Amino acid sequence: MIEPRRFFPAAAMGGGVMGVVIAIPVIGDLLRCCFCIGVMAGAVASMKLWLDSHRAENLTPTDAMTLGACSGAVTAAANWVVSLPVRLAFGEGLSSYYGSSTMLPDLARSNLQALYTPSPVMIVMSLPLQGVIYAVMGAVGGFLGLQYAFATRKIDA
Amino acid sequence: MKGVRFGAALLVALPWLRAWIQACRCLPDWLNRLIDEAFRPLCHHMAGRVLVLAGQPMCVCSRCAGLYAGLAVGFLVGGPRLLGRTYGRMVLIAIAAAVIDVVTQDAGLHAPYHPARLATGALIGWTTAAWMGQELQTRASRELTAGAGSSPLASGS
Repeated sequence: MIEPRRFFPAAAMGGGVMGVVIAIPVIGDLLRCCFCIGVMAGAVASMKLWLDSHRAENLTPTDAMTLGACSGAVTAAANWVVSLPVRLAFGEGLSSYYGSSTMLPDLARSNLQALYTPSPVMIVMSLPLQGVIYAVMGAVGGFLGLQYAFATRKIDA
Repeated sequence: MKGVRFGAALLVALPWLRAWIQACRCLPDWLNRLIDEAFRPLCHHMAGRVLVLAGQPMCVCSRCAGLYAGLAVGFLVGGPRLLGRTYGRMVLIAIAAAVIDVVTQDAGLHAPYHPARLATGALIGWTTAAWMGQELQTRASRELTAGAGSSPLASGS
């Protein structure tokens, strides 16, 4: 039986910090749009925190997916909370600012322009769906993190 | 476990399903916008790198679309039964192929080419999801065996 609650202090810290980091314009956009690497890095950071605080325990791949999913959901929530006021208050202005900026690479400019244009209602309604998407990508990150970064702490399913 | 895999597959297939939803007009328009908004922060939406389905640009770029499609297929149908080590190497090869394509494309050696972008994304998604699915399947089988072993019929009592 998997108990996600046991991962929670670590998942909240790793996921929360990464949620704030990926809310930072430009850096966060690059981290998010490169295969959700920011969300996956948050899952790996959460796993590191958990493993460091539970030295006598190891993880199965399923545990790693659960930990990563929790971390991903926290990342989505933290990112949403941090970026919400900016998007609601300054979305239109930032969108046109980034759209006309020539110093940014095309990739970052397109991402920022897309990020700051939607309607407020949709921004609010999208949180649950975004939370689940980040959780799936977090589960992928947790699984890959255990396989590659913490292989010595892996136990078979 | 099948429910989790099906749910995850459905979720990551949303960018593809959205085009179909919009084309058949069987669901309200706000659902399309909600899916767009949920995926909006995850991708750059550069015009030359986004596929157009049913006359509408997708809500993610073609590499992300490939990644999500690969994940959906991997979660739904899985892959061949292989050693974890073999899947580990396959994922690394898939990531290396995507990195080579990204670097050569952004260095201007070739224009963004949708089939290559879709294929490299899909390869990462499918190998990862198939590996995850295999681990989940192994765990489910072990739990089933352990459950059968501990039942009164199996123990002969």
